[in-house]
Amino acid sequence: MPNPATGISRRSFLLASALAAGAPAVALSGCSSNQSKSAAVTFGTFVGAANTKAYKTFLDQFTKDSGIKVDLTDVTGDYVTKMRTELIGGRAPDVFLADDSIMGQALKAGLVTNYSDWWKKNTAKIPLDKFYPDLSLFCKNDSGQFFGVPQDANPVSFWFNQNLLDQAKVAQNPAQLQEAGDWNQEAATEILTKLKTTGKVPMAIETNWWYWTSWITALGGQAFDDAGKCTWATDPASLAALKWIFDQFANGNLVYAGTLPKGQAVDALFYSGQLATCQYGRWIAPNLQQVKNFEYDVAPFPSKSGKDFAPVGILVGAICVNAKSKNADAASQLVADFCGLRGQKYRVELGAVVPTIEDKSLNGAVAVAKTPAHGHWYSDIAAKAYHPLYLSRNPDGNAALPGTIDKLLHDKSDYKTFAERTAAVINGEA
Amino acid sequence: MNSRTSMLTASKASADPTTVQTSPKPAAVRRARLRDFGWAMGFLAPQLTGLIVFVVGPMAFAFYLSFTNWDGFNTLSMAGLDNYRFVFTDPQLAASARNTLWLTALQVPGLLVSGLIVAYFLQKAGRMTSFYRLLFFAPQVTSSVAVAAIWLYLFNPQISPINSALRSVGITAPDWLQNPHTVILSLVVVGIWQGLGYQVVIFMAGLSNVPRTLLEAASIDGANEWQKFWRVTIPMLSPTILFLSITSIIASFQVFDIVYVMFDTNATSSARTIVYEIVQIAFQQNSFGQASALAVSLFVSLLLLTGLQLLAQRRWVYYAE
Repeated sequence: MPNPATGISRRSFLLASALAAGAPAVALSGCSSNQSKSAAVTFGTFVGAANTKAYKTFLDQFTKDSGIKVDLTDVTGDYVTKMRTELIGGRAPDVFLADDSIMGQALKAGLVTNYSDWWKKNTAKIPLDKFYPDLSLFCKNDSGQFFGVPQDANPVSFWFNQNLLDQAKVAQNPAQLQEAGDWNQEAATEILTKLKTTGKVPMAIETNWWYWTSWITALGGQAFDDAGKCTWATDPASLAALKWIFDQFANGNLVYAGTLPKGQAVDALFYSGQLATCQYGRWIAPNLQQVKNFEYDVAPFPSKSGKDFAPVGILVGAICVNAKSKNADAASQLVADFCGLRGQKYRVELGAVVPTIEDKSLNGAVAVAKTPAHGHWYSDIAAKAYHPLYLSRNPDGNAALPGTIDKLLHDKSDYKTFAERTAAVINGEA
Repeated sequence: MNSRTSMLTASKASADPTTVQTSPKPAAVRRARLRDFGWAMGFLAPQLTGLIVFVVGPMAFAFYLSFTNWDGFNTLSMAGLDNYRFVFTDPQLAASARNTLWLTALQVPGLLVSGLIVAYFLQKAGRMTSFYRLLFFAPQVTSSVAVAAIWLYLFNPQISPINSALRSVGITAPDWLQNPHTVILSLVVVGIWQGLGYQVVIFMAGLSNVPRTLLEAASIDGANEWQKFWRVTIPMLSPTILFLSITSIIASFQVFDIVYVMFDTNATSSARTIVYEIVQIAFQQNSFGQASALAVSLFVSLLLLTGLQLLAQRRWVYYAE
């Protein structure tokens, strides 16, 4: 009977209250994973504005061939933090890109699917046995089972602004010195010293691991032992290389990027002609092709001999299948196509990466690169490159290293203290 | 007679000592209260659900997390008071706390004084008041990313018009965001620039509520403009000042976005604030226990600070009858 005071019956009020109370629950349940049983997978990765169209074309073809619809999310901004948060919250996509730190944590916590299980039944779909072993290490557990597939890689190289070299009256640029067998530590010091006269920044260094390990190994040091332990605090050649870096700081040939004005990223400085050299991978090539105000080229890092391709760091990303995926088979098929020959060839031809599969046609795609003039060297650089094991085996050290380096450089530490502290962080002893 | 009518009668009866008191049966009162409570809860249910799920629940979880070691991925283990020990002994966190206090000490008075001055003069701007108010409020509704981009340009030592202007008069300006002595000051300038609009709007509302009769009475008594402002307007504005000081202090303690957008994950020691540390510790170092302990410590600090402000208000806040 309706209440005379309100005109609302008890039953209708209770029903309304239940609905009102239940509404948020219904709304929340909408937030939970509601993957359909149809062949559709979600794919989270970092695409970048320049590659959006190419990715779409590739995935459209995949859908056409396999009947599997792909919902691509281009994660912008701080990819690692965002994806890690999604993983922790159980909201990660079916298929996602994992860098070494995510891979290490996800593998340890059992959040990624054992890809070897699927591959054993579908060996024809992806040549997993042809992947470079060193570049796949971080995707494997101790038993050698794949939990992710390396999508492509990027060895670090020595980019330079030819116009600034001319302005500094440098007779032979690093690429010419490499061809002449004279691209060594002394030559690098000489070039940087001359570049200082232009009033521009000769070289900048950041907190990323690859700068430090690459300079150390290129100049003859042994950054890591066979077990993957960082040895640069005890290895004399590594200490000598670090001393050289710190000497360059002291004489103004090298600037720590953390002391540059904020908003002036290293790549942006290089594109704008304010920085003469930078140590990045092939990923900046597409952006450089848009640059019209100066000539540029690439060389390997200087080596001890002056003619060898020095061992340098290589960045690798892997594609994983979420352990919670309800479409694991479809997701695995996407990984096979994306990281297999077709996918890698597609991305290598975009001109920003090198392959992770040992394959002549893929290496050929790198070799024919016309931009920059010595872009074909990327295969040679990659062949000698390494991907430190600590990155995935000690994710905490991996995460803490940039902050440690930043603090040490701001505190004006000497190279020995720098070596000891950073090695301790890398080895999980800090 | 329903229970509500009987209660009304009872209350009237209690007001009249000559009438005989007929109080309702306790059971009926309980039933009525229960029914009222049911109605209230029914209408509050959606809001309460949201509050419990999105505010109380996460807060309780954060409090629980503060006593654990958890990287987000693996099984958590109990840490006892270790995380709190870390919060109160870590030198970097001490530096970040100092930065935050320094920022608050500069920004809150800066906002209050500039907001009050601008609001006072805007009131006298006549027909242009709305236009100027909109102008001052614009930064408040501008995204932090855009604000950071503008100020990154203005603070860039090489291309900044501020530095160029200073150079033209023979002053060598510092690298605002890299110099440990100027970085907090730079963040304060940005904070005041962005937050001024809100302060102005609230102060203008407060100023419009100052009774004209009081100001006229003060004029008749011979008070000049300054005396009227200091002895009439300010006391009448004291509740507004209290409200704005509480909200500004809380906002200053929680500064994060502008630091993050300007410095990304590589803010130097002299630029880091407490909330920036919470985010770094949680999402860069994956130490959710330590980050939660810091968040709980910040929450308790703000609670105490706000409590102190509310206690102190008795001495200086005047509420008009």
